Amino acid sequence: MKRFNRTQRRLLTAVIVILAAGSIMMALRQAPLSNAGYSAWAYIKYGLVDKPLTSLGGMFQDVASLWSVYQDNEYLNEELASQRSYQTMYQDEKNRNEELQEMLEMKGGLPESLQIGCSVLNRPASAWNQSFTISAGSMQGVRENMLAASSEGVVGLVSHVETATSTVELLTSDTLINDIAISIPLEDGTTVEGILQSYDARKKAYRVSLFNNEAVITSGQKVATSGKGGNYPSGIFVGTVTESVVNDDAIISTIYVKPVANISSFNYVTVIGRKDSE
Amino acid sequence: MIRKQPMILAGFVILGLLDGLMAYAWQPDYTLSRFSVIPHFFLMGMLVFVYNKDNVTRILSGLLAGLVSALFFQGAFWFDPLYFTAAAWLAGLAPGWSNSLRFSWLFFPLFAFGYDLLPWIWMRLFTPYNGSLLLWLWRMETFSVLLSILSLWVIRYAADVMDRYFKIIRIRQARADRKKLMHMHLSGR
Repeated sequence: MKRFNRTQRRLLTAVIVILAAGSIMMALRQAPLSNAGYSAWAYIKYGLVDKPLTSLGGMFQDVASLWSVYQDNEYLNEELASQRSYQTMYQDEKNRNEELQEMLEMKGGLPESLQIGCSVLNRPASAWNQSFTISAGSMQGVRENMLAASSEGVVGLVSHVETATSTVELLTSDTLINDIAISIPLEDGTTVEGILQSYDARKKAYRVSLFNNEAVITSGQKVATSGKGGNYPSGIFVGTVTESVVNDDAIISTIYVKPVANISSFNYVTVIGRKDSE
Repeated sequence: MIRKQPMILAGFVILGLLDGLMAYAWQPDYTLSRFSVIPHFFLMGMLVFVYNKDNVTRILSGLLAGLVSALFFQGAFWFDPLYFTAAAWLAGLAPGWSNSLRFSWLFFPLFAFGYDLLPWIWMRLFTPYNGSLLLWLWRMETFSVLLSILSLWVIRYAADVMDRYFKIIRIRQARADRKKLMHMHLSGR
């Protein structure tokens, strides 16, 4: 028989050792003592081979999933951004809807008057408290000195009329074109009448002069149009009494009336006039 | 100084670990719904090592590689030892093909293909599995064989570099020994 050379002897030895070790491990697997040896071998194999490979593989998978997480994140950010704009759009539409609902209720409360619904086309920031333009004009039946009312009450007087648009002078304007005739219902069933002359920017209230200086007026009383002047009916809400000025003779001559709550921000108005003014 | 045999052993360990790592990172899809790749670096390394050795060395090397693959690198016992032994022995039977770079890249990857084909045939014959051969060849073996060819080139190149390096070391050592001997003779006079 040919003798083995050194390399062959080494290979043979290695094969025998591995076979023997493997056989011993297999044989011992069933014996109670085998757990120590078998577990030790399993741990060695796990620690040297399986765990490093598993860790590396997990690292690759994490990096791969990071990329898809990034893309998902970009998409969700875009969706969230558009959600926010949807929210503001929804809120805006909701507010407009509520305003129109209130105006519809108001319309039902004045059956004998001429009412023209329209929207605010333009309200310049430089003249925010002075005037605004509406989308109704002579074609729709708008006339000068008609009242313009928002969903909460009177806000101004029509000062200029074009064919399809009109200009409304706000009651808070420095140059009100006409006085507004008002009336205040009292507890005893009578009414006190007066005129709304101007707007006090310092007190943020209309200055109203009463015809009856002896009337008892308290804060919180409602003020409405009397229908005795101008081109508008009676009973349209103007504001709420905030203060009464008593002169030296203890006679009330002037009261201050807070404007309607939404005078600074409204999108729709109803132009109100008398039906016989058409 | 680095010795050749530990370096060869380290190379085999690295190839085995690469096999396991790649199989874990890109796990084969046996449902054949997408392309898969099965690495055979360890087998290719073994074939490159043994193809120019004598019969006994080839058989023993193949057997040892098969046992190591089965025990340490998640191979199958007794398939790996038997297949590696057979492949190592067969690789040396056609030295013309094995030696030639032109043919070895066709010849050696056949063993990698056979390593995958034999279990497939077994499953087809003795289990309820009835997958299509063509689909298996296309989805599973295309990239596996290409990877085997690529790995064969790389391993052969590395083996050649290592052989040249150790040859240079031996020549230099021989020259240094001859010089020392001459010195001794001259000083002995």
